[in-house]
Amino acid sequence: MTNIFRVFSAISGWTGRLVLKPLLYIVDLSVFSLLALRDWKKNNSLFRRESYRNIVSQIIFTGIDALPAITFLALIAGFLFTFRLIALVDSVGGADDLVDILVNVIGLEIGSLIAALILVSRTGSAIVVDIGNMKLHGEIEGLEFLAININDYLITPRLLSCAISQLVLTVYFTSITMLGGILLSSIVLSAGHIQLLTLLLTAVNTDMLAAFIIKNLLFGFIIGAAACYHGLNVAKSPTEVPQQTQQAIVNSLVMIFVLDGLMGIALLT
Amino acid sequence: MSLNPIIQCSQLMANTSPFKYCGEALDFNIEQGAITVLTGADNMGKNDWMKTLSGIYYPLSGTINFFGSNALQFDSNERGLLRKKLAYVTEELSLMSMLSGIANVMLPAHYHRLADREQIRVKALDLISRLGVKSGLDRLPADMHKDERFLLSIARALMLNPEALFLEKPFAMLDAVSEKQFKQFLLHKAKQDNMSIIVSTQDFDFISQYADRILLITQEKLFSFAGSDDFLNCNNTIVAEFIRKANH
Repeated sequence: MTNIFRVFSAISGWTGRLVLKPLLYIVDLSVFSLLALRDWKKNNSLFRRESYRNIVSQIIFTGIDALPAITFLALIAGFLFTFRLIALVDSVGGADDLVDILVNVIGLEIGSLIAALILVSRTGSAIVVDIGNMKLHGEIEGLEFLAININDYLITPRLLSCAISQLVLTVYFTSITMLGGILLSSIVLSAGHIQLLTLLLTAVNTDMLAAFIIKNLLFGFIIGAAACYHGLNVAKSPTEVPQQTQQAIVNSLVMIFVLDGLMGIALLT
Repeated sequence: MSLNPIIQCSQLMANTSPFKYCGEALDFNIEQGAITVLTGADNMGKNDWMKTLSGIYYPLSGTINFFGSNALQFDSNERGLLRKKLAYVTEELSLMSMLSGIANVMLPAHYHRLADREQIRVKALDLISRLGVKSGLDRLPADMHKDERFLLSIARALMLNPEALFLEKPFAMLDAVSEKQFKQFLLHKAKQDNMSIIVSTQDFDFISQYADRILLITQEKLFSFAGSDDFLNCNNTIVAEFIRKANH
């Protein structure tokens, strides 16, 4: 009887830890992000130009510098997804079905996810390594000795720039993917497919647009928050940097896919 | 020299100090414009004392007052203000690796919006030239010599016009010429600008020529001396043994 109780206790304890760990991680990350935003708000005014200097420089790194890679991938995605979807659906459905599929699959899902994957692998990992190394070399301690608030100077600019960059990169990626695929199909399959461009613009409603904006801002925010959080978790050893980078990437991707799934369900209902 | 104390310690015990201590020497003040030296053998916790005296660490026991106020009662804003008044330069020379030399020096004044960009740049260049760094200010810290990084760290710390400057082992990375020039700079800061200088070092030349107060940290106790003569002529066997070993 005692053995059964022990086994049951071990299983329930393991299950409890399994459930609690991700929940506690989300709580930690939320508190970390809110404190960072609070400190930024305390030291900056929303209407002062200097407040955005760090954010702008981060956006240049996160968004602008990523444009060549995004353009290349968007052109390939245009062929892989848009062109092939048009070719497949064109033979079985009408133009309305095709537009619906393009808006929901490419516009609301694939564009956001691929932009997020690029942001995680490119910017997220760079932020963890950057902040982790700064922590190791005492640079963060040095800033604190100068009464420089880390949340204000380092963390919030990265959170906000990731959020803004994710939105802008997704818009850019989706536009190129759609445009590239439709142009290719109008050349290869039928010249009439060029009309899809105008149909797509009219098919987007305000609910979809709001969901698109909120989703991408949240994706970017999650990527930035996880990267900064894990970067600051580096304590003493250089071996912690790759470990924290790996955790940040995996955790960001899991949270993004779960959030995407939840938002998909919410949109359907 | 003014005798206005900026830091008052009473039965102070430094945080994470590696030995037990009891005695009178923990009651002391750091005066404005004085040069205070913390010395002792390696691994005696000099940097822990430095960080406790500068308000970075909370003391293990006892009280420490900064500018007349008890550090234990400071809120986060007051601790932030304290950091502006008490500059601290570690031996790790933690300049921001992504910023150039001049940008590093300008950073604190720029962050705290002490003046416009051009005024900050002029002040930074003035401090840098007084410290003897002549060129390569647009390079990243990784491309600089260690002594240049050290002097730029000092310049960066001084940009906020602090009342006291804490330096961990400051002479270890300077050549003989730079060292002499830097010691003169510290003396000028203390005596002309009335800035308190607190240094952890084993440099006996500096101790004998410049120190107004010496704190010797040993495993048994902490000794306090009002000037180098008291220190060098002390009959205590622990002190005499330390001086003998250090001189050899």
